[in-house]
Amino acid sequence: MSDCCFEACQSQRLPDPEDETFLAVRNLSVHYGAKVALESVDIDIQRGRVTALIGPSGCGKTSFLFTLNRLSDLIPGCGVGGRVRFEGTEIYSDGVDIGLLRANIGMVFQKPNLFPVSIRKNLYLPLREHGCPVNQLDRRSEEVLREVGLWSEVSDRLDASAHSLSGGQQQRLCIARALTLRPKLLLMDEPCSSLDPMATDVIERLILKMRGEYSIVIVTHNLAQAQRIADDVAVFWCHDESGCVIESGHAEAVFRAPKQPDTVAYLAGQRG
Amino acid sequence: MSRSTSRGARAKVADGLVQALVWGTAGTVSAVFLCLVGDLLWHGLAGIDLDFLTQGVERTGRAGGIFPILVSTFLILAVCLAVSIPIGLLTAILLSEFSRRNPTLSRLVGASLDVLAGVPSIVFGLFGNAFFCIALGMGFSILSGGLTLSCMVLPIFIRSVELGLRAVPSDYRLAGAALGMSHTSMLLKILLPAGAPGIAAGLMLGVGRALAETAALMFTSGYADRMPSSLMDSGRALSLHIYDLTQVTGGRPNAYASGVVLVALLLVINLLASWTVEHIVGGRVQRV
Repeated sequence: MSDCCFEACQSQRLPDPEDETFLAVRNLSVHYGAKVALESVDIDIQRGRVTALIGPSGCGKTSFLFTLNRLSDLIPGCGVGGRVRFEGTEIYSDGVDIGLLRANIGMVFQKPNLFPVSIRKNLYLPLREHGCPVNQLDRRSEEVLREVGLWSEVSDRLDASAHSLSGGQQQRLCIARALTLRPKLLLMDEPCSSLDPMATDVIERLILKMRGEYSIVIVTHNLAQAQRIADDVAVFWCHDESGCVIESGHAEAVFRAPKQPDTVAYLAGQRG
Repeated sequence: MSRSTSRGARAKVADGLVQALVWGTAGTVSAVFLCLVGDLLWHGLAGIDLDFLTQGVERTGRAGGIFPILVSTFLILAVCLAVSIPIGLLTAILLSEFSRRNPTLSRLVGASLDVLAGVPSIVFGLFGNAFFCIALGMGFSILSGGLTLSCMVLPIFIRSVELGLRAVPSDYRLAGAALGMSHTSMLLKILLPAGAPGIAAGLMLGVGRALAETAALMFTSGYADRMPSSLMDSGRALSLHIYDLTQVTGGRPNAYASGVVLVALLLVINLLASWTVEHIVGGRVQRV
């Protein structure tokens, strides 16, 4: 079993990142205390594309996502090893402005987590935090609400509580809130898992619309969803209770002709 | 069929019993409260008029009003809150927000607070007398009394604000961090407003304990029933005045009247405090 992991993870070794690589991850590991959650992950994320992270639960997909914007710093006992290079900057080096990093790498969570304030203020808060001039708050808010297709639905009640929106609307407002800061990369952690099929469809179409302008890394358990929206895919797998990436590449290629036996079984619904 | 019927009947009887028990205990509690307030109003309401609230104390309280007592009470409470609120808020923030990485510190501070909260007030009085009155040379004064009270109020206030802050979903903290917001602006803009109910509850418990306090003030702010000239002057708190009146013959009517004023004061201050906190601090957030 561990031999298999060794080989599987070895097959993912990538050369040193080139300067123009959008996001390069090399030999990344994550541990919580003594427990290793993720081991030797090598992956390149391409600019303007949608990368789906798939694989069984507990294989470190969310842990991986949390390392990309250093949200892992907030988790007590969480340690990260290896390198993450975002647009030429090593994000785990000293002197990195974490506020700026997180403005450049936005995140949308599994459950909508809007602040308990009005729709308008949910958008204002990050804008004000990052120094947006007062006279541009409204314009920028309208822009992002239009981008996520919420403007027509909420333009007449911007001062209503954000929690009064439906689940799907809340999730789109979360996306809008992340977009206020014009991030280059958007991390999405199973953004549709708490939504009904209709709301899921709206979000999926939004992701397809955002492709190109934004780069997106999305964790999903829904293989059909990954097939619908992803340009690239990375398959996470558990070996000896720690996760690693066993296969990655163009979505079409991975879905059509998976190379690893575990991927074949997973995609066929026989394992994981 | 018959078995299920008898089971249904038994369930009905059990339901009825539990319901009677629940209503009975709730009714008893309410009845005790009503008796207490009724007795207080019955004996005390007659003694209250404008003169009673605006005149000075005469014949050690048997006659005249309670105006200087009210002023002393307010001053003691003001000193107590002016010290307790900032220290309490900051400690609660430390415990709930910054001690995640240092659980030992949090446990140590928390345990000390729990022990302090259980210390009888008379012990606080002795401490206040030894420390504020004698060691710091403040003497029997409103300042000593207020500071002693704040030592008493702080543990309760801190614990309840801390609970309020801990009850704020950690989703917000994660969301704020993911947007690159600093810890401070998250605290000011989201966490404290969302934790406002806890702050209000803590304030009410604190004010309640401070206004009701007799024993701790006996040794610190003293008995003087004249109008206090400054914070360094001795002043008699309302609850202490009531205690004193029950000790002098013929003081009972005014003791009752002062009791009504104390309860009314407690109600008004509590309403005011919770309204202020909910609207000024909590006004930034919307609860659905």
